[in-house]
Amino acid sequence: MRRIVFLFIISFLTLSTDLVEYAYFQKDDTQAKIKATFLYGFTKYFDWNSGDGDFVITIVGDAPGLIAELNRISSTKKVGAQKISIQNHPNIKDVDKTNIVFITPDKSAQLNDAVAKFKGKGILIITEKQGLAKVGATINFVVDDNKQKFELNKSAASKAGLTIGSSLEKLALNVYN
Amino acid sequence: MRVCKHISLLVLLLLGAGHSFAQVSKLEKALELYREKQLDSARVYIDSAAVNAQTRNEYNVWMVRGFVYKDLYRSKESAKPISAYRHVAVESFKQALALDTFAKGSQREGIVQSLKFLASTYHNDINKTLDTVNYQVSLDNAANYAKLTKFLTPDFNDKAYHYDVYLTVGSMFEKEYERSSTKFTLDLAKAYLFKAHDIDSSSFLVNKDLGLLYYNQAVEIIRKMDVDVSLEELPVYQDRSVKLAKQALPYLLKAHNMNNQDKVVIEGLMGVYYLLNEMELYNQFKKKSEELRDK
Repeated sequence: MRRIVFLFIISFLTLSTDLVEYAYFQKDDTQAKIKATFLYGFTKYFDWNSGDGDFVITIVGDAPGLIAELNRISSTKKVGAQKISIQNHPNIKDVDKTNIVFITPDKSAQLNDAVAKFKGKGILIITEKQGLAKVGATINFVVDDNKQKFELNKSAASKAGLTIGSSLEKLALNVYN
Repeated sequence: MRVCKHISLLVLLLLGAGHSFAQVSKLEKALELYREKQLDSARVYIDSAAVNAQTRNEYNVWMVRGFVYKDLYRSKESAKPISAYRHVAVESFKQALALDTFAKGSQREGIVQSLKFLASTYHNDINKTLDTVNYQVSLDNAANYAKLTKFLTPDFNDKAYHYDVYLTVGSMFEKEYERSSTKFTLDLAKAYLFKAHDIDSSSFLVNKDLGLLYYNQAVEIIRKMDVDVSLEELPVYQDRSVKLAKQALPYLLKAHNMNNQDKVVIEGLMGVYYLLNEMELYNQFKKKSEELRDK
């Protein structure tokens, strides 16, 4: 066991304010880790059109914590035999080859463009704003009971050229047809 | 030397005490050796007098034994955080005072001063072993200090003293938990912080530390989670983390109510609300944090 040394302040009744600084809180981006784990987990529930090159996950919008977590995952994990590549663009029009697109809440207005652009191409569109699973996103992150959960839209998946297995349906908070 | 002067007077007392010659001789011999600084030899004689049926209830025997052992401690073990000599000195002096039921003992003031000195050594020794390996010795020395000081000064606030000690040890293990993330350090951090909390639940520091401990534990669950975890298991991790974040909340809010300018508490609350996906509250505390940073 490591030996760390403390000083008991030589005062009978009060501690020095130095002790206040002993308390420290961790600044890890927990929600980014959870979302990244979900995103990587989703890759195991779909049949992908595994072409040449990397398996691409694209983030549309500003999400540095999530991108950092995904980059960490991509350094050690694969999807099937494919390496994982993480891309980040401000606009959906800039996205070219990708397997998953995650649209950040502030870029939610680009969902319609994404649906139109990737129709039938087997690309999973994921959003994070209340109600978007009903209007085109295949998966939408929502918060329920203080936890990160997700909703599914089966018809959106079908239009995107994806098939949702029953095992993923069971995990979703809501499933829309 | 004041103690020797007192002990010279003791010789006169001894001569009039009417003890059997052999036992008085042992006490006298111990005194003689003590004055010659032959402490190991003095110890043998005074220990013998202390167990003898004729002298074991004598105030003088225990007083002399206290001085002999106190000097043995000072000459041989003052650098050691654990000292049997010191312990015997304390117990002997206390026994002397207990036998001096009418408070007439000519050495009473000297005994009290010696006990105060020995108490201070217990307190000063706390830092020598205040680490995550030897902390139990510090706790023992703190307990000895508090017990002895309470004996000497009945209105001594031993609860406040123990609060400081428990908070220091709890904070030490909390810090170590942040580094090592082991269950062992977490359990000890909680145990000692709760001991401090039991003594003073309205303390800013203990509420802050307990809040941050739970919060850090909540973060640790997510941080340690393998990204290969199945989506079936992921909610289990979230449940555990959220539960701990909710446990952190009342402590941090209480600390914040006591001091709304503490940056670490505000950042802790930011972190808790972020973990709980309470983004409106997260943003409120984020704003407060930024305001404090700009000051």
